[in-house]
Amino acid sequence: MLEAIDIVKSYRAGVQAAPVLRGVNLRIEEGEFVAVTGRSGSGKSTMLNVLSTLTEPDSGQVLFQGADLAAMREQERDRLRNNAFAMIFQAHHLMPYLSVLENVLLPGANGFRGISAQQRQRAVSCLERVGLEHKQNSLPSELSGGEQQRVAIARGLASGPRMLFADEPTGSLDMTTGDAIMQLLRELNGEGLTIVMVTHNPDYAALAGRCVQMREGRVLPDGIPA
Amino acid sequence: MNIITIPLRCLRQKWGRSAALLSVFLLGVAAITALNNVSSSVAEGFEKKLSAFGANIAITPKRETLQISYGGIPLGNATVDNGYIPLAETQRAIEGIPLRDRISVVAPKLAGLVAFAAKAGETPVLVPLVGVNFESEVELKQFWHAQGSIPGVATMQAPDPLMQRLEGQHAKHASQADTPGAPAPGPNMATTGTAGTNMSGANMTAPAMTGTAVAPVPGSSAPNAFSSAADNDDCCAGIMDIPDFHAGQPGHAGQDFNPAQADMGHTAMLDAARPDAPDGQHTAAQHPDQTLTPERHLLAGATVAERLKLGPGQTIWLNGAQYLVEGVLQPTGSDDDSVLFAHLPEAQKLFHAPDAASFIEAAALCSGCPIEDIVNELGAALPGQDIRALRQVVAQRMYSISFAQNMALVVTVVILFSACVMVVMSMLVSVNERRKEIGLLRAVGFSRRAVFFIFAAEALVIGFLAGVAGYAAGYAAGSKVLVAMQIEAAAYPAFSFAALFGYGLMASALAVLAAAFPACKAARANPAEALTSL
Repeated sequence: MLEAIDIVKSYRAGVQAAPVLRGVNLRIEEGEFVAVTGRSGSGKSTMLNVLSTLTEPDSGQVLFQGADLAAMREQERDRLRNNAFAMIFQAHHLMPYLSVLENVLLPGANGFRGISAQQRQRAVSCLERVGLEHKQNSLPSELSGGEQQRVAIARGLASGPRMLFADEPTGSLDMTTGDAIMQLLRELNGEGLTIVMVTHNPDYAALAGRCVQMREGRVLPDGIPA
Repeated sequence: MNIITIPLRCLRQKWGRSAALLSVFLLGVAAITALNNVSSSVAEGFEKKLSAFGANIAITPKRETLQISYGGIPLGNATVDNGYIPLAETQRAIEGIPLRDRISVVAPKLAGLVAFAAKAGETPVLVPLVGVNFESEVELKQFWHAQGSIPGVATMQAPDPLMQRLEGQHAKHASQADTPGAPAPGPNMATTGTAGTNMSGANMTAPAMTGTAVAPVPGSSAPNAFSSAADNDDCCAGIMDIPDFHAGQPGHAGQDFNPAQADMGHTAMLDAARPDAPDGQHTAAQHPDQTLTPERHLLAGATVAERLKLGPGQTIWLNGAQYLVEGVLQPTGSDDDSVLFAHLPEAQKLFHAPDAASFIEAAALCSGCPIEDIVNELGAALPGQDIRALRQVVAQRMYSISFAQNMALVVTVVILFSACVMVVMSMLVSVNERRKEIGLLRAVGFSRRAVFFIFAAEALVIGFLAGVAGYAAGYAAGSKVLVAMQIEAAAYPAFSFAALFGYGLMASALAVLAAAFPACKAARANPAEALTSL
């Protein structure tokens, strides 16, 4: 479904380029739940950003269902992020001045055409799915951290994505809330959603179907400890 | 919910920042509106005031100059014109032009020479006389100040005690005056048979003046002609002897105006004004004719009054009819000093030229349209007349007015620039504050164009509200400023919903322009970097 081939990515640090990804190769099949682990600075988040088209690699290819994402026009990549990919982050990233429901509807508000009744119904269903239908008119500031993360998951689900990219979704949550989020992700994966999750927590990584370890910008072969 | 919801919600949520930005822009627009309205009102009022210092359009009969020669020898030039301007028809035509409202004053004039005598039986001399509409003339020449009063506009002058006394004398002597059928004192100037007076050097003017010694000079700038005459004769400004007329009176042949005689008359008049003056001292000049209605009142220029020893309240004889000098102009330094002024209808009677004018001066307000437009419209309406714009006058006025307007423009530009800088700074701060929002929007599939739109729309809403509210506030403030400055608010522009909307659009466009750079910066942001920024 999604394949990274020899991805290289560097960031500029002053005049020098600091390599972050040094030839990443990874294949993710449809319906997989892949956990990406590794030490800080190993390139986990950068790889997730490259896979989700938030960042372009310096070299290498990312193929989504056989199509090279780098060869796509920017509008096509935007559309991919809007329809096929969903993202959740450690910091939740909700729009503070939109209500919970409006935050969930945000990907559909990408134009002058108003939200349809069907889109609204789907958003409400997603909120029900994460157990927050009763808070749809609240502002994000009125929610707890776990609730905010569930709203972010509902937002990701609202557009009916094929893949969910989660960058340390439990990183800022307490254990109980983190467990609940992990349970939700497992349920979603059970319903067929492909998930790629970056995490530091080995317990949560163990809950994923496959664990990929990274070190110094490379994906380690299975069996080698990070 | 659609993409417009996002900037609107953001503005509402961050109302403090929105209000601050709105206030800055609103103040700018209000200042510009007030400045613009006040400056245009001041310019209009200024131009109206300037128009009081002279005309800028002259309407004269069309003239043609023919070279006359015989046997190859040039005999000079003959000027042929269309005679007089038909006054009623011309005034109707002026009233009918589309730009009539830009003409503030229309002042017709009938100029010519009359036979002047200080008292009955005295040898007359020719003096220039201009028939005017005093009200228009005073409006056009607000620099006029008179000793005594100006006929027809007495309310503008302080009541003259001497005139008041004379009014009393009029009433007193009315019953003693000569009967209306009695022969008028003084000569009959209409029968002298003197050739037409040439006021333009070698040129021979050939209007319908035959058989009239004393006639107007149609088609010429009469005051200039008079001043030419004055220049040629240092002792008498614009005053000429009448040899032919004096031929029948040998004792006076070749004599000029005798100041002593005029002085005697003046003294006698003053004596007559005294209640205790003995009846035996009253002369013809001391007994105003009962027909000295207000139409027979004159205004004398400073120089001609000095030469002829004229003063307010004095009666004189023109073409054998008695007139009262109601006022004497203080020196103006212009041609007006050298002439007598009479009511236009009276001058038309004196010159046997009913419904005629030698030329018409007009004061046009040029800030609303170029003078050429007014001249063209007048030219189309008056094909028989020459219409000339006195461009130097116009240019000087417009320079003064445009100076004030340019100052306002400079201030406007400075205010606009400051407001735009505020918008740029505020939006830049906003973009930096909202980098994570930008990253999120890009992460959920918003295009760069959509992100640009969100920031531009915020500026657009701020700009439109500031434009509309600023126009309303500026409009109200401008009218208050005019009151505070004690400027006539007649020219203050009317409140216009079109202008309200226009200001809103203009301010929106400006705000979007100012926000373009920050919005571009937001749109260019890398989503991954934006999401991880502090």
